[in-house]
Amino acid sequence: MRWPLGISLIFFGAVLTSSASSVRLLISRFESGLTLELGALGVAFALLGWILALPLGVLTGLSWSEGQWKTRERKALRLISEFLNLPWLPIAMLSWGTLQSRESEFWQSRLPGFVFWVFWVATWGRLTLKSSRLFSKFPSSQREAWQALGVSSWQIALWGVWRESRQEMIGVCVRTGLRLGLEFVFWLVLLLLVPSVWIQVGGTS
Amino acid sequence: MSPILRVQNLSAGFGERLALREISLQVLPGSITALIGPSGCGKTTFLRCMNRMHEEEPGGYWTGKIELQGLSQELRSLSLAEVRRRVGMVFREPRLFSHYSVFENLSMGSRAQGRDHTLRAYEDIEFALKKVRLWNEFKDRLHSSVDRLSSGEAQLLSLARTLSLRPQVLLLDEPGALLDPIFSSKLEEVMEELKQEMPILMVTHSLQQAGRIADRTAFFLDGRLVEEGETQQIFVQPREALTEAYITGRMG
Repeated sequence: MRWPLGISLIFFGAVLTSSASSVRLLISRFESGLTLELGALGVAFALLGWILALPLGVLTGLSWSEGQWKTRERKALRLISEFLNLPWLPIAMLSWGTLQSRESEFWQSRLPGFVFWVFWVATWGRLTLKSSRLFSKFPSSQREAWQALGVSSWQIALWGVWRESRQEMIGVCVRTGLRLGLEFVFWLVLLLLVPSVWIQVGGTS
Repeated sequence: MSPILRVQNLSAGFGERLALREISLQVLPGSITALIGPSGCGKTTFLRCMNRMHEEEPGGYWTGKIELQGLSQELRSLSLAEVRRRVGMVFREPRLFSHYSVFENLSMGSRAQGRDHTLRAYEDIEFALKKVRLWNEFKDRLHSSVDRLSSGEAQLLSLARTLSLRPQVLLLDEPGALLDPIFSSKLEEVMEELKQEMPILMVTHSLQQAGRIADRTAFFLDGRLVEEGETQQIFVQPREALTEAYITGRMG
């Protein structure tokens, strides 16, 4: 098991077991129709992340593959990407629930935005990393041929990579989108199912 | 005769490794200058400094002064797009953009430079194909793919693609290394004609080729310019013992 997943599972478990009451509150929020609003926000942010992540990722990959980044920077990017790959959404949602249980006006009003900001960052981070990896595979001889004609890096990113690797790029987008969508649904279901079982068990005892 | 390209005290390297030391050289109009020397001596690095490709390599840097005739500012002050338009480069291997047609390949430079008018692009392409003597072969199949061309045709098309930008100076990095004798000879004939309009700076490992077509020759060794002069003088009466050793095959 990769270490970020392990850590996030432990974190998730700890939050889950220590905040049963907050989960109940969270469900009541969902039931009151907040799910739709949050869902719409999530989709909007995810789309924004999608739009921003690809060109930025390609440019990041460009500077990476051209050797402008040192090994230390690559490691830092790797760490950041792993950090972004944590299942932040459920963690943040549960933290929100925990804070709500304390009835803090400040957190109640700001946390929904925070939750989906985190989700957006995670989406962005993943797409950036994936597209930069894709670009780093672009052959240097081809890139040089473009450069020799005066094509700038961003033009190479937008035309060159698109023309040369569009099928692979579409594949990356579709796969990443599917994965994110499935994860989103998975965590939402888990957040709804687990607490309801908890409530049922608590209710019968 | 004032030089088209003037290089003064050029040093270049990769990170901490110095590849060129204090090179000064002038490229005269109407001339072909051959850069010769053993592998790793810095001639390709020198060539790549002329259109600032070197600084885009990992750790690549250069110091010194490179001036192009007709410009008030140094090459360093120009945008990369402007430098690449004025100083064209052809590589050892053709490097055409596969999956693209002949027309798309040849118009890529114009498009990159923001001159994407179809009529202008056709004019540039016709000009370039005539220069490399391929107009008759390709005028009726401009929209065919470049994927099935011979290496000779592909290399001449690469040259045409560079010429479509109408550069002031042409850089050739071992352009005939992968060509058969027929295309190699054709390329040399094209170069002889082209030099009247734009001086050519050419890296070559073939001393015969340098002797045949270069007006001037520069001998590089260990990142230094050992000697530069008229080709006849370099080959017959070199001033430096190192040059003589290299020319006569007694080096190493």
